[in-house]
Amino acid sequence: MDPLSGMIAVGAGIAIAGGSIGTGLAQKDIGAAAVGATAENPKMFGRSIVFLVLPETLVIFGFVVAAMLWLKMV
Amino acid sequence: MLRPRKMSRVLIAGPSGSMEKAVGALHRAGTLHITDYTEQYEGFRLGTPLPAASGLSDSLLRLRGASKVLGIEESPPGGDEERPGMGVGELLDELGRTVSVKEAERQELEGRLSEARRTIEAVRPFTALKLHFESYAPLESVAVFSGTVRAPIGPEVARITPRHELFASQDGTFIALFVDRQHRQAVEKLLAQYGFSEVKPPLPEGDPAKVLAERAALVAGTQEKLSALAGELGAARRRYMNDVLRAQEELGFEVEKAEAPLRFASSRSAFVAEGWIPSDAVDRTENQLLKTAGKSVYLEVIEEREWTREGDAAGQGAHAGASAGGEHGEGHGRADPYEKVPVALQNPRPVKPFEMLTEMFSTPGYREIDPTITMALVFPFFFGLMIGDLAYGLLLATAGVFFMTKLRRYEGFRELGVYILIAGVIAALFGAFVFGDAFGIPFHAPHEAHGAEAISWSGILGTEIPVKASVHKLEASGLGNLLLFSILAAVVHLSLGNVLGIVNEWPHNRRHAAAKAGWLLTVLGFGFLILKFGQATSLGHWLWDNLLWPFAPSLDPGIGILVPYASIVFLIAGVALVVAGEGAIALTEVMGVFSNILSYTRLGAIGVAKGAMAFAFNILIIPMVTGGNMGLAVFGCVLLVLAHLLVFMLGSLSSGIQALRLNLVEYFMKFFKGGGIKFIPFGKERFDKDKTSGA
Repeated sequence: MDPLSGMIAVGAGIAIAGGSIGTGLAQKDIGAAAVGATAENPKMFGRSIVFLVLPETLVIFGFVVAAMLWLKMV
Repeated sequence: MLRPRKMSRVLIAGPSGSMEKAVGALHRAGTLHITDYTEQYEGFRLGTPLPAASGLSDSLLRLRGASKVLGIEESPPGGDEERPGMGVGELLDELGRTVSVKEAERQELEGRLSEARRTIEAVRPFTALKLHFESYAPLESVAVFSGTVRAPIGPEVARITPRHELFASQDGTFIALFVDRQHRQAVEKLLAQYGFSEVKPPLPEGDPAKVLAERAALVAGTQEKLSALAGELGAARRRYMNDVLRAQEELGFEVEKAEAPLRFASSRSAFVAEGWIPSDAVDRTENQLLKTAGKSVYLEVIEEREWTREGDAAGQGAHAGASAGGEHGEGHGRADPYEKVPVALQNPRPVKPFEMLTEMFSTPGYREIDPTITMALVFPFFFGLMIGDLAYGLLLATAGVFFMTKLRRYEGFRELGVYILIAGVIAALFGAFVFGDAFGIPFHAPHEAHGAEAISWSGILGTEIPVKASVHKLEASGLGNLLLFSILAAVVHLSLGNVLGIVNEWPHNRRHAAAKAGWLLTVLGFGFLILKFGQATSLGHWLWDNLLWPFAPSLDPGIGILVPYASIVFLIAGVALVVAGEGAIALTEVMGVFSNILSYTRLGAIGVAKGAMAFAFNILIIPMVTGGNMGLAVFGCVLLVLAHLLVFMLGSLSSGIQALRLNLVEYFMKFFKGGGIKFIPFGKERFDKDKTSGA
């Protein structure tokens, strides 16, 4: 594997990692709030799940960038 | 289908004497959504419950108590529905005679059992010392110590005084020590060093061994009685289950009926009930009232609400009603005339279960399009696409059937079963015909693969599987195609959302409708741009050659991406419309459309992530199974099952939630406002609906 490909692979890794960390940070707060809301009113379960997955868009963006980099590499 | 049932506002009035009959009729009709009375008419107060109410509530409480003892849950597992049951009173008497008595007996036995067990625990250590309990009684000249110590203390005590008697368990840690009172303090000090903890004899007299045997026999006897009693309660449960359930339902109805007047307006001699009835059920309700309560009770339709016209247009009837019924139009007619109309969704039977998903977000408003049917088409498709594996799909479908049959008595599980059954079938179809894999193992190995990566179903089964995968999830070309397909799905889905937005807004506010059209153009503009970017993939080629060719001419700004002229036109026109319709502040949301579209790439991303996980487990574990070592092979098989179970659970969960999210967030945000009041008719319809939906 040539050095350029290696660099691209590292970049792809960073893209996913950054997205995942961002998602995690956002989800920790939303998750806590969602559990609280559900404990108070079980009917909120469905809606809080949806709120909980909102920040997963970040990791998806990370994935898209990583995928585009990977497609360049192979 | 896309609209809720049309509603009519009605007023039902009659003399107080006919109220009970009228309530019965309305309950049987099961069509009236009662609007709670708020004391807005002069001379009318809140009604009082029918006289029977308190007795009925009491019976219901007793019945619920009995059904709790018997462990009866909501719906029965079939059984002979036709058997003529006994009346509620008779049933309560009989339950009181049998079940309550047995329950009291059970509680007493339980008490005795735990008492005996406590004694056994306390007596057990003393059996090792072989002394009767009488011996521990303190004497004038002898101090008695009984309890546990950390280590045997015999020699140490002998050093203090020979005038002692020590009994100890075999390991020397449970002791009974009798010492001359003179040496009491020295012995106490010694015992403290040995961590003495006193254990008093639990009984004043008797042989510990005998007591132990006695209590053990008692425990065995009580347990036997308890299990016999449990059997009897089980028999009673089977015997009374249907009766109790029926009586509970019946009483529930009666209580509901008896308490209905609390929601009516009533004076000394008359009552007035107000509410909404689906327009097509007004005649039926009127007939029912006439039949049961006679001509003295009067039903008047105040207004019939159209979905699309403004309240003014439909307000004529309201006006007439206002003059007939006094001031009752006041509180309702002012703000949003549609705000208080209850919403009864009407969807074809197969689509019905999906109403739960829409309701999860919010009940649609009365004037809104009900998006349930689009949800029913798109949600399982996205769900299945993300799983995209023959074996996992079949597993999911099986789970769906299990949910629909075995677990359907739990609220929401039947609907959940429908979703995952459909999604499972779609996933299996995708797995079989598009992705060509099962359990993450491809039907055919990729050409350049070797070692564990070359495992394929064709290789395992030893025959060539005739279906060729058109998309390999874990190859570059497959990933590109999958991502592009996700973008295409985004463009179609979001466009549909905006079209529904235009339809929603058009009758009320043309400017907002124009803004929605602007958003639609923006979606298309960004969509074409991204699709053009993916033209190099095989799906991209096909798309631009066969479907989107009119929009293909592109500008080359020299930065490596082509920009279709159509995109430029759509974006400019779209943004102009959006600004015209919603003001300049809407500009901040334009890039949001771009990220909305990219958000759909999760369709591909989750499919690939799940496939990659299964693939990783396979290449790690399968060599273990096929390595030739018998022990390792068995271990590997167990590991493989667990690994795939994990992938299946994680994959289904995230696919389901993400498919839901795409619908509730990206799609609904384009047009759906919600906030409607759910139509909950008074009486049997609610129960009937539950029953038929469970059938």
